[in-house]
Amino acid sequence: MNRFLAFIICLFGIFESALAEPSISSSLSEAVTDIDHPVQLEIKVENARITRPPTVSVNGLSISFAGTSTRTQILNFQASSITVFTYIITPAREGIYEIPPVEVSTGGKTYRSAPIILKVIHGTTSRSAAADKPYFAELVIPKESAYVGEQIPIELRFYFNQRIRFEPYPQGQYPIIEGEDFVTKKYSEPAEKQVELDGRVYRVAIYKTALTGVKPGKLELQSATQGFLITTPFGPRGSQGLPDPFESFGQQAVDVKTNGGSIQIKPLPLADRPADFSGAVGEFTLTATAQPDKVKTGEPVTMNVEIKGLGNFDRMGQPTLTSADGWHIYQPTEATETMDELGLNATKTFSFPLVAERPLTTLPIARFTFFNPDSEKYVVLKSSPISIEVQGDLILKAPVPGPTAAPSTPNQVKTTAVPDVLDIQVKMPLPATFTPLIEQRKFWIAQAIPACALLVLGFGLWWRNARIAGRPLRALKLERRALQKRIKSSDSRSEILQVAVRLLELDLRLQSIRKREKPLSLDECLSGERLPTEIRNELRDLVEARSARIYGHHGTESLTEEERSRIIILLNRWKALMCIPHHFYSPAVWFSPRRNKNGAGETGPAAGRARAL
Amino acid sequence: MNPDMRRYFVLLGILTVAVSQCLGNTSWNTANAAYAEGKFEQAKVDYVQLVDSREYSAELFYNLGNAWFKLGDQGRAILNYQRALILKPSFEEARVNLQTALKLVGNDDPKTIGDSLGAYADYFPVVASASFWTAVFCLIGALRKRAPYATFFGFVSIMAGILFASSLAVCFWIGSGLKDSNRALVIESATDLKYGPAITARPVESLQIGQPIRLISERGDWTFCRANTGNLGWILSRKAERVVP
Repeated sequence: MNRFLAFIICLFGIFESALAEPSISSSLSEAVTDIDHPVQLEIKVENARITRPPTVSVNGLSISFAGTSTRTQILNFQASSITVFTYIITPAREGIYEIPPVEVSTGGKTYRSAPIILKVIHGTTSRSAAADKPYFAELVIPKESAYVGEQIPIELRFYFNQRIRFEPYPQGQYPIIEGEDFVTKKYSEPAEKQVELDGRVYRVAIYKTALTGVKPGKLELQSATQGFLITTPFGPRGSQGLPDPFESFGQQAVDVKTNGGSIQIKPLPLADRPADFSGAVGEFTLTATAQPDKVKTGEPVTMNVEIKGLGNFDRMGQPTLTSADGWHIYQPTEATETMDELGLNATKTFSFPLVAERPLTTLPIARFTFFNPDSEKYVVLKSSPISIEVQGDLILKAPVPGPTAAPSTPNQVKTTAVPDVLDIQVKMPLPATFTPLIEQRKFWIAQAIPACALLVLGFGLWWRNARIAGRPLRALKLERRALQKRIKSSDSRSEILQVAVRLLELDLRLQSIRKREKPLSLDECLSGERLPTEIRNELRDLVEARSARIYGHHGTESLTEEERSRIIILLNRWKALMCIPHHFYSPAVWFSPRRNKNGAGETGPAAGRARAL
Repeated sequence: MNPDMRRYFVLLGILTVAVSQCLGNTSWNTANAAYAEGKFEQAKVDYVQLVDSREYSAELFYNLGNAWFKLGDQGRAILNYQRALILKPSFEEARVNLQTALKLVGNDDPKTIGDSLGAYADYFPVVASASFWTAVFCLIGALRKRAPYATFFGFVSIMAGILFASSLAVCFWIGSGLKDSNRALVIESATDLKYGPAITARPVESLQIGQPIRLISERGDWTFCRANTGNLGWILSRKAERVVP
């Protein structure tokens, strides 16, 4: 045991001797804070035994000692001890404070930390102040000043307690920044991440955009607001990592507002501004290429001028082409390829169609001017000369319409063609209307044509079907008409009797067709009792007389006028019966017994008359 | 009315039509001549007179757009090129000039599907109508007993029915399309869509020249409208003009 203790003591002795050179450093938890919002100052002393905390005092700041921690570490057989003194600094008023160097003395030497700066501002919502809230937001502006036209990337951070679920509300809505005299780019899709602040875990939605001041002066951004639909759990927090199935949630729409901010927007300097400056602010490089490298006069060459860098690509004008004698320059096309989500870092390519008017050996030189906000100077970029072989004869310069014919300046800085439009129309215009077609009368008149055709077609089909269906009826009617004529004209007794019976059968047939019922034979009809007895008897007599005439050869051959009229009267009465409504004298009900008022069968004087036949 | 009086009125009618036609031609030719001489302001005035007399034509709006372009008013140039394209969607010169003007004002917003289809809003009712009648007549052919080619008619009827339903759906979706009387274009720069009808109201978004908006209501100098991003807000009435004059 004693040996072991001796070994440990010996080991400490070795480590002590192996300690490295002492050093001291200080750091702040936040470099910028608000009034009354404390920050933490740590003074770290390495490889020196200091037990008493150094004194730190700054006028305007309340600094109180919070504690000491010591640790020893061995790294690559190099032992080191670290003592950290922690202080809490609470600012009392706004300003920029320098925390002076802290001195420690050990081994006869004095060591000193570097001074650090704490900026205290007023009126902002720092994270610490809002840390107790379930959600808060901050507007992060990286610069305090910028130039007109310069794009300043800004971030809007919305913090939510990790227990809160959130989503933008309404969906697709982006934050609205309050203020004037600036424009912003389209927001990128919000990023989400998790951060820890003062021991609390937050989920942060980060919206990024770029802001551009449009006129000089102080640009005040009052705040940025974004609506969220948040879902908050009720009740105390359960075990971490284990979801509580019985936990209930409340949902509400809230507007989360950030702090404000300001940026000083400086005007672009007028001094030394090149004539061809077109508004590009940032830092760019220029390269030029051309295709093909061998052409004939009059043939097109495409010169691609590539502007690459970081800046306001959406506001920059096209480069100018200088030393362009002998070249006819057309309006370029533009293409922008962005490298970041906001489009600040990008490559913009201008493709100039050029036509050589005479044999040449070099292409025009591209010249691009921009303002560099870092160096605060205008920078002129020029492409290196590009060789080309143009062969052929001199061709006449094509007339350029309107303002495209830009005059060349004495210093040979030739501006490229200003966009122009195609010429006017001179032929007599055709009248037209803004009234939508479906509101125009002609459209509906046009619809009437097929509608009428449809009606005609429908009517035609119906007519055709009706004619086909009525064909048997018509034939029966024709036969009936012919028989009626014969009954009046013929004198042959047997013929008239036959015709009369045939008429009875025809009437029955017609009746069944009209009423769409099963046709009855004459015998069936006469055997029923629904027919008035008198008529029935007369009809039976008629049928029997006809049969007797055909098969028995009884009676006289010629017919008297009295008999003819009696047959005609009988047929008329029969016909009248046929016209009686279906429900009363329908052949279907003739078979059911029908009685007169006294309950007896009908009899009458006509029975005797029919029997005489 | 006696025959002499009737003849007199007919002659008077013919004379009136002839004079008005002649005057119209004169204004058109005068405006074109002024434009050709570079007197764009005068040409613009003449073209506007023709527009005011409701003698609409694609060529008239195209020329008026050119006059505005030459006078440096890209917003109104874009508006009139759009009008020309509404009246004649195949007007290639108007399309080219519209692209030039939009490029000049930095408006590179891609056209929405609704806008692209809206240019052909008058074509869809024609397609719907033709397919409807085809479907109906072929259906009759298909339903007739013992009709020759009944299967073929049935197939054509189904296809025409599908086409009819699709075109009808597009018709309902795009409505009057670009001929919507409440459709307007932003014609001035630095136009903000604001939360309220006041200069001091905070902006919802910045609108570009040539950006379409849908007018909802007016209050004094301000118009409540919906931008094509879906945002609602107020703009100064003079900063936008209806596409349908």
